[in-house]
Amino acid sequence: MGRPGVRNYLLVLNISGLTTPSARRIAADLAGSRFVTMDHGVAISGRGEGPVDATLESLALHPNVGAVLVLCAHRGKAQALLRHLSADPRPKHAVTLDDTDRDALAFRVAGVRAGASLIAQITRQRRERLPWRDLMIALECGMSDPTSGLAANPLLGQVVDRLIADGGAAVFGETTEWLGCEGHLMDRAATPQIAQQIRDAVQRREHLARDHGMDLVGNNPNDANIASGLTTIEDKAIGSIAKSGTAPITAFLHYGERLQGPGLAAMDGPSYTPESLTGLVAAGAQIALFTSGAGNSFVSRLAPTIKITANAETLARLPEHFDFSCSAALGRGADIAASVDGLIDKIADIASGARTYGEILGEDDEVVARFGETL
Amino acid sequence: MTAHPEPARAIKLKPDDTVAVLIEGVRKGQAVTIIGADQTGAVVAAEGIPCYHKIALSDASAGQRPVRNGIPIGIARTAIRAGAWVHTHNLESAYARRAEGSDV
Repeated sequence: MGRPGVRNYLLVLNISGLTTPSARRIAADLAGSRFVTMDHGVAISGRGEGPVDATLESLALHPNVGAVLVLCAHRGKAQALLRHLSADPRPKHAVTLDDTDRDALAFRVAGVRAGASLIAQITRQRRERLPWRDLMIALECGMSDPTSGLAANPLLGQVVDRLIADGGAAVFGETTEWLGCEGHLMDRAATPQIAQQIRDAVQRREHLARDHGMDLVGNNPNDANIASGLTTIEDKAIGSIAKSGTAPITAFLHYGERLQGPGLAAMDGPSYTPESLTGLVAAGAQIALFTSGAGNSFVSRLAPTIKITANAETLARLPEHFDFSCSAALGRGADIAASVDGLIDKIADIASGARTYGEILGEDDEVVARFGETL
Repeated sequence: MTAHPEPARAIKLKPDDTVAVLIEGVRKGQAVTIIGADQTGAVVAAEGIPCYHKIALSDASAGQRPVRNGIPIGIARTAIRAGAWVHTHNLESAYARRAEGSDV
């Protein structure tokens, strides 16, 4: 069995753009369900549908998902996904337009009926007390400022060091934010192969930027990052990789790939928050820790996302945005040791059912990264 | 103009760092105290610098690589004096250079 969940959602997983309007209505009719949609996914050039399909499969197998309702125009595509999930014991059902002779209204009714039955099944389950080593944490930062790199991200690093030492798991990504620091990450790779994968991933994205004439300045770091005091991508990267702590990197994951077993994983993925966070959560993280300097309201739809800042001015401006603050650490010369236990307590609270502001206010989504143009 | 009564503070993370991050905004001529794990020292702000921006701790010539947390953060475009604001006007990424194809 995989990791235990900290939530128990019906995932309404829509995998064709043709059904998205109806699928949104179906999910809205199923109270407490979580809607994830992939509007693209057919005839993708370059790397093809593989990375998209693999990510959707990972989301369907996410620990916080108790049951899956697959919605699609095509019966064959939906059945193929169910076949890939067949080893997993969670209840699943597919409804397609093929099943309803292209009748979108009948499709809606069939989807709501199937989803209602699935929710009735999974809500019979009850919470159990579990050790914190069962957790896997996704590490994300967005709208960073210098306080992120000085205190908030190093705080995540210390929490993750403790979780990994206790037998838990964590994943970080945002490959362009390894630029200038890839040597330090490679030094922490548990095997030469992982070190090589880290180097290759950084070089591939650097070449992608160069070959397409993209200037990283203004893009990453973005204008808000620069206005707040960050300068270059390597300046930002030093702060960004602090999220990963000091543990050995024992796995390298492709975008959306699930992490099997404990340890710290590096995922090759984009840096834009919605795409990055979805990839990290798809790896199996039940909870995300998300730091911000200027404020970034986006949260994962499947993994409760704890928003953390070290910027006292931002905290005062956005009180229903942040779940945890470590701004006092700056006055102590960025000594964040005093905040580690507090953040672990907050993680335990959220894992036990307390809601994050992102959950309360509904600033959640999942956005699967793009991999190529549609033919 | 009156002098600022309190020195501002800037965080230096590693002994070899040549820049520190201010945790208060400073005016020209204001004293800055260096804080951080086992870090001490002081520098005088050569110009006004916003909160959370960087201040140079030592002189650097054009082409040198300022260091923060023990890692180079780019290449100095111009000479940078101790106490100067270190930002995008006088610091560029080693990677942006490569992206533009001007690196050897």
